[in-house]
Amino acid sequence: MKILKKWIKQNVNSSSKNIGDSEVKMISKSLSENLVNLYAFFKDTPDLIVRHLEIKKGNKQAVLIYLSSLIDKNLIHEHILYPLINNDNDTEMPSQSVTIGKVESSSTWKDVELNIFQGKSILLIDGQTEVMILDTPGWPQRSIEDPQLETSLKGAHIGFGETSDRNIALIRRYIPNRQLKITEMVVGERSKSKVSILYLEDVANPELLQELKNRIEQIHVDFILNAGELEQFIEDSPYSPFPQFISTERPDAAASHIFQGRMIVMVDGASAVLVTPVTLISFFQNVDDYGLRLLSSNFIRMLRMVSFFIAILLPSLYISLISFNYELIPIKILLNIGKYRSEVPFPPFIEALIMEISLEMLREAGVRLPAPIGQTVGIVGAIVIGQAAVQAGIVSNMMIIVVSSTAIASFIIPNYDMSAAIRLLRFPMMIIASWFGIVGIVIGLMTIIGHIISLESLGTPYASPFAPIRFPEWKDTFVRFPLWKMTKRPSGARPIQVKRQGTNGFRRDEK
Amino acid sequence: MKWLIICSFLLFIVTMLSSPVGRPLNLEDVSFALVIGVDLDDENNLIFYTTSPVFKPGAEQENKVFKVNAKSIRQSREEFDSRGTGLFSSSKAQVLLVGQKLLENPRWFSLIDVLYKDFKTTVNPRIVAIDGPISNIMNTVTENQPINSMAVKSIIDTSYLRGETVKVTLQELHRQMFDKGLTPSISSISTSNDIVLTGSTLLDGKGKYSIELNKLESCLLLMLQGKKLDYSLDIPIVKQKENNSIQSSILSMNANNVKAKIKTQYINGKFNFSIDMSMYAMLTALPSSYESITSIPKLEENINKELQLQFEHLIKKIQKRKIDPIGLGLYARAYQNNEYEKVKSDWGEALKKSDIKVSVNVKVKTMGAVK
Amino acid sequence: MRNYIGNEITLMQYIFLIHGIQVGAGVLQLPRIMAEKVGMNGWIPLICGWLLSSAASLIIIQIMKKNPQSTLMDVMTTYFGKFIGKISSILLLIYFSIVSFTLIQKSILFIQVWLLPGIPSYIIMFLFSVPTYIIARNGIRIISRYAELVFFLMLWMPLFYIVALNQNHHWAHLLPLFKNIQQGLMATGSTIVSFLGFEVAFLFYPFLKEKKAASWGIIIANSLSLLVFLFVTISCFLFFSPDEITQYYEPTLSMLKVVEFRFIERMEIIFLAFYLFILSTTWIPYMYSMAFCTKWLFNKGNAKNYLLLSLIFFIVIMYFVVPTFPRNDLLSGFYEKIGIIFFYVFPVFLLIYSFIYYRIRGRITK
Repeated sequence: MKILKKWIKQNVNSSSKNIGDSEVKMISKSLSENLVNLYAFFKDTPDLIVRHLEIKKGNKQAVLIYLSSLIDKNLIHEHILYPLINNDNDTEMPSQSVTIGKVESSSTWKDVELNIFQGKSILLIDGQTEVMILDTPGWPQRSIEDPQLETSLKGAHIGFGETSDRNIALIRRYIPNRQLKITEMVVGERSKSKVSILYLEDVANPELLQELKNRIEQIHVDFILNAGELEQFIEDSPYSPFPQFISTERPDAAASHIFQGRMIVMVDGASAVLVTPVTLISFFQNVDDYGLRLLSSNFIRMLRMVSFFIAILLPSLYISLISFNYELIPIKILLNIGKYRSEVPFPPFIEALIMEISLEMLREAGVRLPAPIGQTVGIVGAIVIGQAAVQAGIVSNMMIIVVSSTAIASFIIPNYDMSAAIRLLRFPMMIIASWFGIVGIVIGLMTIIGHIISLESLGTPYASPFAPIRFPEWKDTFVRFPLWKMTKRPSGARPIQVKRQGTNGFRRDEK
Repeated sequence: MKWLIICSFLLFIVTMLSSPVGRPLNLEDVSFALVIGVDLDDENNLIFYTTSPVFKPGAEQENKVFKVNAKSIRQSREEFDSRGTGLFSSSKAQVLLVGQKLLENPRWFSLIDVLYKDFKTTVNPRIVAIDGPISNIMNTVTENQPINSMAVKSIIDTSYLRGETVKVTLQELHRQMFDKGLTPSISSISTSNDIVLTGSTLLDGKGKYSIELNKLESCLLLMLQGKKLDYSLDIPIVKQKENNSIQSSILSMNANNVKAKIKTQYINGKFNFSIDMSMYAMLTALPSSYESITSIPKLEENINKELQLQFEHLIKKIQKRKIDPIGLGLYARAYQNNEYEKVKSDWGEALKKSDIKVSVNVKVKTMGAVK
Repeated sequence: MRNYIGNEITLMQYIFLIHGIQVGAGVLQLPRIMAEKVGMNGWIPLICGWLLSSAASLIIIQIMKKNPQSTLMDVMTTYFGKFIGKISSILLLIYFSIVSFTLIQKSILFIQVWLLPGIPSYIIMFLFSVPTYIIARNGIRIISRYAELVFFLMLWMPLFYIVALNQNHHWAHLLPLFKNIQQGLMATGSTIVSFLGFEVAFLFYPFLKEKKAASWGIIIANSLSLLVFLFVTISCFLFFSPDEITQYYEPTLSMLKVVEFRFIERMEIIFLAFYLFILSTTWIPYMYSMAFCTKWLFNKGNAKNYLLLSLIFFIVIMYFVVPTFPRNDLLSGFYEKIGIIFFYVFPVFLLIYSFIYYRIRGRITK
């Protein structure tokens, strides 16, 4: 087993050969030799443009290399080629006539390769061993839109895009502070994805930051396509149903997490960012909560808590009440239920399983279908098929109500990963309830609770502030206290600067 | 190591599936005995009755009545099982009916002992004494169904809210039977024409039938026990001869906030109980003899006198029969423990000898909407 | 000296850990036992038991204070040498295994008779093992977090008793108040075993973060348990008549049978099912203590694996020897006697010895 793993690892590492592995590493002085090497390395790349030009000053031969699909043509034409070809002033260095903002230089082919694929253009000058790397990115991007999975009511309607530069810009708009630091790392042998970690230096815990960096550095894969894949490599318990990172597409949510002392992991090419370290309660908090009025946001918050329990427990409670502990049901309801049960041939567990699985199938199908058909099928499926099933005698009316309430409750959870986890947990609870009744439910709850309190997110306790009980932090759990009362940051992220507010609000009592 | 755990886990699941796990009793295979009835027939054999609903698809629900001869409730369950479509379970029983003939046998309580021992049964069914044989009530057809268990239970529960009868569940009966300083009392229903609540039945210390109380007396008993209810009293007042048949001689009032302060003393070799009843009354109907009274204190004085007469009448009744449904034994045990310990084996006798004084203090809240 | 840092528990977790162990299956039968021995003054032996157990706990803390980073077995090694240390760990091991087995068996019996009649005991044992393993394998930190959480989750339970009492309470049952004082004092022998649970302080004192507050903590834990016991006993006394309470085996549960709401009946089933949480906080620390002692004894391996082995062992035992209440009572009687000797009597001697030891050592080093 171990030998097998080692062998696989070796193969992955050796699959991506860099230019620097072969003999030619450095740029040579001769332009023609460079061109020969260039064409040898970049064979079969028709979008590689090689533009020969003559720099006016000094009459030097130069070559501009870029990938036409990745650059901004305007910049190339007007800010590089035009000044170089036409400029005649007294400077010796062509770098001073090129009117591009970010200019670097290098003398290895490795850097050339890296930068060409990041949308930069390379200026090779005859007689110089250093190339100029000009920053001219211009790949196709989509405009800023509302994020799909997280709709905001009163907050900003912007979502992250797929370019990490723009995403960083969006966050900087919320945190114009020099304490916002960014650590960049590269993950993926072939994909060379840029992974940025954003945090507030005087708030975030340096130990946790170091731990995060260590974990990311130990990833050796071919490619990372999106933040979800990165998450699975660095989380504490990948086998747990509960997510240990929050994945968000909203810059204001990300900024609010940074302010609480958490760290954002941004992957270039992914439109969602990861937030770490998180606690169980943070999955039930939404940035919008703080923008709504106190009473209404508390009501919604408590609704979410209640729906968490309903989503996990309701089908199993129903099954155990009907199969095992019917004495718990008052006599009037019991007579009704007995009537329904006598119409249905299946035991309650099978009935529940049929309904739940069909609901999951409908839901998944609704995601795949295009929008107009998807909505209709969802409604049609739910109402008509449910009704027809009752009439055919496959399921009873009560079961339809139970299952649909569970589904609705599970959709109230703001975070997609968490609601998927809850939907998943229903099934083992149903199985154990059908075998052992209400004792089974209690044991199932014990197991879930035991699992949650032993779970850790980046080394911090997941079930804080419940598992190590910290009363002052209950201000933002089941109910949300007024904003001016939340003077300290939650300790789940172990921030090093805890106080975040002074005395607030105009003096209401002095009126 | 991990494979070992997984393999043993799977082995275990296989063993588990072969056992009775996962095959519970389905709801529709259970017959709930909603009414349990116990009686003695003319040859002094035990008869057991039960009615249970039949679950079947469709809007019509029906109840079936069963009647068997058996030696105990346990045996009767087996008999019911062989007659009914499901397994009988008394975990949802609503009422327990006891025939009067059975009550005269002091060992009747041992019959229902099984209902206490079994973990799965409920102790909340109301106990009702039926005057006459139970077969009357079981065969009463209301609408097109035989006796609806819910009807009996709601009759008792709603009457209890007005104080017209005692509400005794199995749990309460157990306490009343075992407590040496208390004798049991249960509701009673008569079945001569229809199902009618008549008041309460009192049993003696061994559980044997003693005497019946009508609705007014049940009301007074509940007041003496200190239960907080909205009492509705109709006190007959016999003063002068009535010439007119419509002339009323009933004093009706709604009493609430009833407090019973009982002081216990032991003087001259016998117990001395002085009971102070205080309550707030709202008058609803005055007898014609009271029409001349205009001042409230005078009215209250009269009402106090009448109520006191009624209380004393009730107390004489129970003292004569050596029973203690009020629970004065509890007070004796609490406050005069040494003396109580001497007589506790025959508390009824001690109660008969004791002095019980009642004083009533009624405060009239209002005399109604019209004069 | 072994290293115990890194696995620390806070004061509140420490309190609830000990309180959770003390409140368990004993509560269910406690009112009947008190009524049988003392009648309606059954609350007197409870208070005496509390006094004695607080005293014993304080003695234990005093012993542990002298060696802050040691468990009991390390202390015995320091005072008496390695051999005695190992013997003490074996004795503790035996004690903890008997206690945890008895307690799990008792919980299984209760669940079997009240809730799940048809299911064989070994299957229920397996059912209990799953959360036990998940919680206990991560050490005392997670176990105390669990105990803390369970305490707050189960705060609603007294409300049921108040609802039941609402229906039927007679203060006269409690009077006269001081009838049987002598009998009450003699019945203290039965109550001090209800308070057994503080002995885990012997093992887990090194893990407490704020060692200064250990004495207060353990007294608070004992007092909380006393409150629970008193509440349950007095509620039962108020509800049941003195002549009938001895008829009920578990009056605590039978009392709840009368609680009924419009939307749900037979509350005692729900109550007992959730009471399983409280029962679990009793046996999980004991099972972990057993694994901990085993690990200390052999000084290698993971406590996790010993825990797993012992759980499997219990399941196998229950397959062959089916639990019954009489068998369980035998085991209970046995471990109660050992418990009293080990943890009420022995610490006194150990404390006296430790004074002498440090005196002598002080003289030698001087």
